[in-house]
Amino acid sequence: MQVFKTFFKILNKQKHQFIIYISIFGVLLGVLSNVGGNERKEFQGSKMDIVVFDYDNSEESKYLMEYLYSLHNKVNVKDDREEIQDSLYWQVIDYVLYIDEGYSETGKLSNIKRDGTKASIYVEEQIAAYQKSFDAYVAAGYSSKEAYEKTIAALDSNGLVGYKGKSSVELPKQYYYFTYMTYILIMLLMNVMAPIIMVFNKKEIKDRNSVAPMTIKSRSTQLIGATAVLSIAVWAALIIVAAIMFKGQVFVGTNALNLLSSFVFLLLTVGLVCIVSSFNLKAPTISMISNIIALGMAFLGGVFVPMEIFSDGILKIARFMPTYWQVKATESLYVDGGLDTFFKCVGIEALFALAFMAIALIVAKVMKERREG
Amino acid sequence: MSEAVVKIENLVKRYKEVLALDHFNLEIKEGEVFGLLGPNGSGKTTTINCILSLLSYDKGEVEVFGKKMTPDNYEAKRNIGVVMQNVAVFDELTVYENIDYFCGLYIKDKAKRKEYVEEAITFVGLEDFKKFYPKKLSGGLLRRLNIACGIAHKPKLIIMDEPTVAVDPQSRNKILEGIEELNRNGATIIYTSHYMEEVEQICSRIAIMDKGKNLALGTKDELKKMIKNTETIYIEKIEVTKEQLEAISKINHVYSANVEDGKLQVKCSGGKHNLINVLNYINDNNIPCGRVYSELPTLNDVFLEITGKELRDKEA
Repeated sequence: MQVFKTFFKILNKQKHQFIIYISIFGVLLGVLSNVGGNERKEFQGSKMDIVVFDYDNSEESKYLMEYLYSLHNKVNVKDDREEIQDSLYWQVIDYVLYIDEGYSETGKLSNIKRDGTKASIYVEEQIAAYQKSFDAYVAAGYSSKEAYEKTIAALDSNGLVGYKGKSSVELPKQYYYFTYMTYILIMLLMNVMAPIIMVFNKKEIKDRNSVAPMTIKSRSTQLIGATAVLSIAVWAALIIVAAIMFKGQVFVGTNALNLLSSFVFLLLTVGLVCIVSSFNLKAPTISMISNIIALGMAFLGGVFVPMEIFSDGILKIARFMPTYWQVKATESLYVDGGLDTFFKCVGIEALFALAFMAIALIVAKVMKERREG
Repeated sequence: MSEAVVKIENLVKRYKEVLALDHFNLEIKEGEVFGLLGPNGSGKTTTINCILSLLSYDKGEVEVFGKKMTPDNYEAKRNIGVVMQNVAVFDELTVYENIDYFCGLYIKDKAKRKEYVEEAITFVGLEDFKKFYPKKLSGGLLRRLNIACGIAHKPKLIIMDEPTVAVDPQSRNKILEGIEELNRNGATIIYTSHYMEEVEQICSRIAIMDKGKNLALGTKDELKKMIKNTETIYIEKIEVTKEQLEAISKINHVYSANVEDGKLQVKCSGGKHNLINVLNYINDNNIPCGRVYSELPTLNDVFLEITGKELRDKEA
C-alpha cells in the first residue's frame, strides 16, 4: 500500500492548497447557483407600490383600477397632498394615479410621481397599453366588460420574455447547482489530483518503482484506488453542500437523478485528468490547461450561457462537449424531455468517460514507447 | 570460484537507427565492485536499464542471480538496489519519508524498516536533514539521499549509474567511501561513470565501453598492461634541437618523444629506469630545462590508445 498511502501523504502536504480550492469553488458554486436561480425572475414584471383615487366611479374607471391593482401593490393613503408627498419622499409609494371625473368620456387621468424614476415610466406605459387596447375593443363594438376581459388576456399573453424552449419554466436552483458543478469538478480535480498522479508518472519515480518487487498491477491498482477515493470524496463533499443548500431535496424524487448524472460526469472528469497527467507538465501549465478545458467546456457546453443563444454551428461543436450532455440531462429533469432524454444524455456521458479512459491508456502507452525509443 | 551475479550475452539494443548496444557481453561476479567506464553515449545507462528490465532489447540474454531477468522476476528485484543517474525522489516528501517509501517497497515489516531507514540515513550522513525536503538540499546532499533511497533495503546487488555527477569533492569522497563500505558488507556493485579516477579508485574490475561495445575488460592493472605505454615523462621549459629530440626517442624503452610549447613529452614502454636514462641524456648534453615529472598511464590512456579519443571531453 506504499503508493496508496504516499498519494494521500502528498495530498496531506498540500492540504492548505486543497482547502483553499475547495472553499473557493464551494463558495463559487453556491453563489453561481443562487444568481442562476434568480436570473429568470428579471423577466417578470416588477411590482410597484401604488395608490389609485377614483373620482369617476364609472365601470371603466373601476376596471382600470382593478387592472392596476392586479399588477402592483395597493397602498392605503388618504388623498391628502402633504401625506402623499411624504409617502413619495419616504418611498412608501411609487406612483399615485387620479382617475378624474368624466374619465369614461374623456379618458383623462392625472398623477403624482417621483421625478426621474423608472417606476413611473413603467406604470405609465402599462396604463397607456391598457387604454389603447381597451379603447380598441370598445370601438370594435364590445361591451366594457368584454373589452376589459379581452384587454387583460391580450396584455397577459405579452407579459413574459424568455429564451425559446424554457420561457415558461422557472428552473430551480438545483438545476444551476448541478450544471455549474461540472465546471467546479473539472477545476478541482485538475488542480488537486492531476499534480499528484503526475508525481507518480515522473520518469525517475516510475523507474524506481519499476525496479522494485511490486507488480505493475499492484502499483496501478493502488494509484487507481487512491484516485477513486479522492475523486469520490470531492464529489461527495459537493453533494453534501447541495444537500445542505437545498435542505435534503437533492435526494428526493427526480432530483436524486442529478446524483447519477453528476457521478457519471465525475468519471469522465477523472478520465480527463488521467489524460493530462500522462504528460510531464509543470504546475503552472496544469493550472493553465485546467482553466482552458474547464472554461472552454463550460461555455461551449451551455453551463455559463444558455444554449438557446447558440448558433447552429456552435451547437454542433457543443455536442462534442461532455458538459453539453450534462446540462441537457439536468435540464430534462425540469423542462420537457423526461427520463428518456435524461438517460440518453447520461449514457452519452458514460461513453465520454470510457473514451477518455481509453485515450489516457493510449497516451500512457505512447509515452512509454517513446521513452524506450 | 564465485558465481556470476549478472551475465549478459550478445545483447543488442537499437533506438531506431542508432545501435546502442552492439552484441555486448559481460559477466559480473559476486563480491565485485565492477566498473562500467565509457564516455557519454557509450551505452552504459542502456546496459543498466536492460539489466533492470526497464528497457526491452532486440537480441541477447540477461541473467541476474542465475535467472533470466524479466520485468516480473520479483525474486531478483528484491535483492537489487538502484541508484539512478537522475535523482529519483519525491519533492513532496521529506528525506526520511522518501527513504521510508522506497525501503517500504521491499521491506514490509514496519519495525525492521524503521531500523533500515535510520541506518541508511546514518550511512549517507543525512542525520541532520531528516525533515528537510529535497529542494532544500544541496546537490551533494541530494545525491546522498538518492543513494540512501537505493540501498536502504540492504540489497545484494547495487547498481549505481553515475552517482557522483555534479557533486562537490566532499560529498564525492563520502559517496565513494560508502560504496567501498557497502562492498565490504557483502554487496556486489556495478558502478558506471565517465570519471576514470573514481573507477580506478573503487573498482576491482572494469569494462571499457564505447559505441555499445565492450572494448576491454580486466583489473585496472590488467587494462594498463594491454597498452604499449607504461610511463610518460614530462620536462618543462626545455630547448632541444631536432637531432637531440631524435636521440631521446632512441633511448632504450622510449618509443615516442615530441615537444609542444616548450614541453617535452617522452613516452616509454617497459623498463625500470626510464626517467634516469632521459635525465642522464639531458645532463650529458647540457640541455637547459625546468620542472621534470613522470606519470604512470591512466585509464584515459588506455581508452585513448584503444579508441583514438579521450575518455572525457576536454574541460574548459
